[in-house]
Amino acid sequence: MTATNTKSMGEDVIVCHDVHKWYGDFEALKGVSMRVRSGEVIVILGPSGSGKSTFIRTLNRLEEHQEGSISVDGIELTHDIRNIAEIRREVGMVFQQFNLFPHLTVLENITLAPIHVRKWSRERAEEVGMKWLTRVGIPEQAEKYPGQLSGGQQQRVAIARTLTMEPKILLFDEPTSALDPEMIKEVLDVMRDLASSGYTILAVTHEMGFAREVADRVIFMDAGQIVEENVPSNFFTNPKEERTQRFLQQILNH
Amino acid sequence: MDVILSNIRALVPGRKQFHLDLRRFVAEQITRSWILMVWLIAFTAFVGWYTIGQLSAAPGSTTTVLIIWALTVYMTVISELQKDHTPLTFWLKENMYNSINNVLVTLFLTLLILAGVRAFYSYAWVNASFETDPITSNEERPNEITVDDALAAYRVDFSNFPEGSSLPPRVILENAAGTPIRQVTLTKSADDPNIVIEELEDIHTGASWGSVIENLPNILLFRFRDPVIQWRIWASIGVLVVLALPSFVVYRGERYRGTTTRRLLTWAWVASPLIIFGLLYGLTAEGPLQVVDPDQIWGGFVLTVIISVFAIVVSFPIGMLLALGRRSNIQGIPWWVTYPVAIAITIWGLLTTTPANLEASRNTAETILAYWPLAVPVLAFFFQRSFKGNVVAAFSTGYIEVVRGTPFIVVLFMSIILFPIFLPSGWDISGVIRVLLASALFSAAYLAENIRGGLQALPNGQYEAADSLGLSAFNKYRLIILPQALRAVIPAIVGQFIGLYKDTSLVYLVGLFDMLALANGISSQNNWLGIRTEPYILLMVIYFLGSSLMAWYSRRLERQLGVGER
Ligand SMILES: Nc1ncnc2c1ncn2[C@@H]1O[C@H](COP(=O)(O)OP(=O)(O)OP(=O)(O)O)[C@@H](O)[C@H]1O
Ligand SMILES: [Mg+2]
Repeated sequence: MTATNTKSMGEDVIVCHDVHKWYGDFEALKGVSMRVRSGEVIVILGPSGSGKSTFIRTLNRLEEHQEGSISVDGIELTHDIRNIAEIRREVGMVFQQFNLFPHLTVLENITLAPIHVRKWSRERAEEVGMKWLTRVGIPEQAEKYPGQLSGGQQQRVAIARTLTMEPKILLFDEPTSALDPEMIKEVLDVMRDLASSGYTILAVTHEMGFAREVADRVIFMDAGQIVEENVPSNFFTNPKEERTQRFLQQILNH
Repeated sequence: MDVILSNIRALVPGRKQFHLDLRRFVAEQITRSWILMVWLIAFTAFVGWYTIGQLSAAPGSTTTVLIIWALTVYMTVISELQKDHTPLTFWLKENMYNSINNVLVTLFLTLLILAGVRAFYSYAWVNASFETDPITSNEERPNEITVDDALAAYRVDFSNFPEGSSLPPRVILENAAGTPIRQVTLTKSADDPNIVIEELEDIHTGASWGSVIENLPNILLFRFRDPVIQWRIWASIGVLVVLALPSFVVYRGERYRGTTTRRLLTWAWVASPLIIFGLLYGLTAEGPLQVVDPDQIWGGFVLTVIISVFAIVVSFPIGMLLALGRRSNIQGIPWWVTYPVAIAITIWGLLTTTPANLEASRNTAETILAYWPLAVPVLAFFFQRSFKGNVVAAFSTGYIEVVRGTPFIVVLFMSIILFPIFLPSGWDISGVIRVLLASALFSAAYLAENIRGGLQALPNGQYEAADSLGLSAFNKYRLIILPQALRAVIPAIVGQFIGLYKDTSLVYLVGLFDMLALANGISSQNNWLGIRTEPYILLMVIYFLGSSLMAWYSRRLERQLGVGER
């Protein structure tokens, strides 16, 4: 709650207007509109199947939306692959299943995109990569293969891989859901660290503690729509919508 | 030493209590069912009969086997009774002697294998001849012996040739054991007591390895035997060796990763097929690198290697593209384009070509074919329905399925017979080259399916991670997807290449001088009339060596690349 007041927030970096997305006949997003300002930390909550993943994946075009408009960092997401490539350079994503490249070492995982997308020299990529590996606390694992690491370590590598690309916006899709309880903390600590260093973050997570502490705004989605947007203090203690109350009751009872 | 001691210990009974429930043993092993009992009696009788036969045929080895068998059975039984196994008896009990039936099976199979080995050994070695020239290479042997000498040395029964009668022109001489060893042509005049041996040739019941030895250069090199061009073969092998030796160092470990040395070596490897092709095919009309006619010059093992390597190298990129193509999900042609075009083609075809074709039609088949435009809308319908208008996927799938539905031999015949029809007149591509292209295109379809299997097995997350990092489609496939997909299907791909290597023998049927053609040719050579087994054994060895080399390399590659796999 403290961060919310002291952080200075810039102009809008993500603007979505009336985004619709169909999987065949099934409408997964039914008119989602929202704005995210630079430096904002947003947590997206909602029941399973409500379209949270689908929504944040439309932001870097892992999923294509059929109606409405999305602009990221001033670039409109269209079929133009140059726009898509440009947006993907600025938007990093961390997945529930880590999705590390198992045939490459940790350091190769991390330096691959900077070398081939940002055209950095290997030396520079390795230097920056090691910096991030150190920041997430596992510089000694650089030469290992992903299969030799614990889940928590793998997710931290995935975060370092994303950050070495120096994106402005970070998308997290349930980054701790595939982890054992004792590893969740190490990943959340890294995310807290990032939240306080000025990144724009959109995170889908079920970690209520994280949402309460770190988020500037909580977005509650249900059935492909945004049901409620609120600051965390109000969201958890005094939700506006009846649907939100039911959801909170359910998860808090568990 | 300990092992031997502990096994000897098992031979000494009585140190411990025996655990034997005889009633249960008999019930389980013998009287469980009457079928089993009948079987055991019959099988015991059979094995006994077979063993006695073997004992008289080969007393030494059979006795040895029997003694070892009896000893190990005894050891195992004693150990089992004492419930105190050594590792050896335990293994025997688990794998060899776990029932009365299997005790007998073990003996029977051992004797059977032994008999096979013995037969092959005497065929391939004891009774074999290694003479490359069976008729004339016996100069060191006496060519004139007296009848008495002949009678003393060989058991020849001359008694049925009474005095004065002419001797049979050909006599088979036997050694003391009764094995025929020589075939001689004899002449004898009435007043001369000496038999003149005109020809002396070895008779042997075993293999004539001479046929293989004499023809080996031909089978391996064919016309490259010719000293004028033989160096080109050695140069080609030299190129490979020169590249292979540093590769063991440069591609191992991290030391050379990303260095110029490694990049140069990789480029050299990429260029090597061209260099070798230049050597084997030739570059200039005259001079040391004179262009050769591959139909005449390429043959034997050289041809086998050329076809296999060419097909493998060329089919790889094609197969990869086909695999990616079949999975492509690019935007398809919309139905409102496809259908009007299809209908337009149909109408145009029906109006222009069909009447003329009907006119010219001579039979029902041609009449039906004249209506070909009617097939177009049907194809268009399937194109839209199955591929949603995706031309790339439709083409790749169509190609793969058509080729996979065609036998290799048909593809070969088409390449030889049908293909020239489509070439503009005056053009001629040599048969070997056509077969090379056909093999590569054929192999590509199968390769595509193998690679597609690897692509299918990759979790979607790998694509998403690569996409989210902003990798271009090209780099995504080059750096992330294909390395993993290909690695996953190395065994399948190598299996396919081994099959391809052996299938090259089919080119014999379209008239190329493949190893099989040359091996078959031996049996019509003057010295080796009718000899087929030995050349086929040679081919078997060559194919086996090549295949196992590939299999070995595949396992090595898998191990090397397996680092850090999930
Ligand atoms: N590739 C797809 N094809 C068809 N339907 C899909 C696909 N992906 C998602 N859906 C559907 O879209 C809806 C939203 O899915 P989404 O993954 O966004 O939910 P979510 O809110 O992330 O749920 P969870 O909390 O379980 O991850 C679901 O009903 C799902 O079944
Ligand atoms: Mg989800």
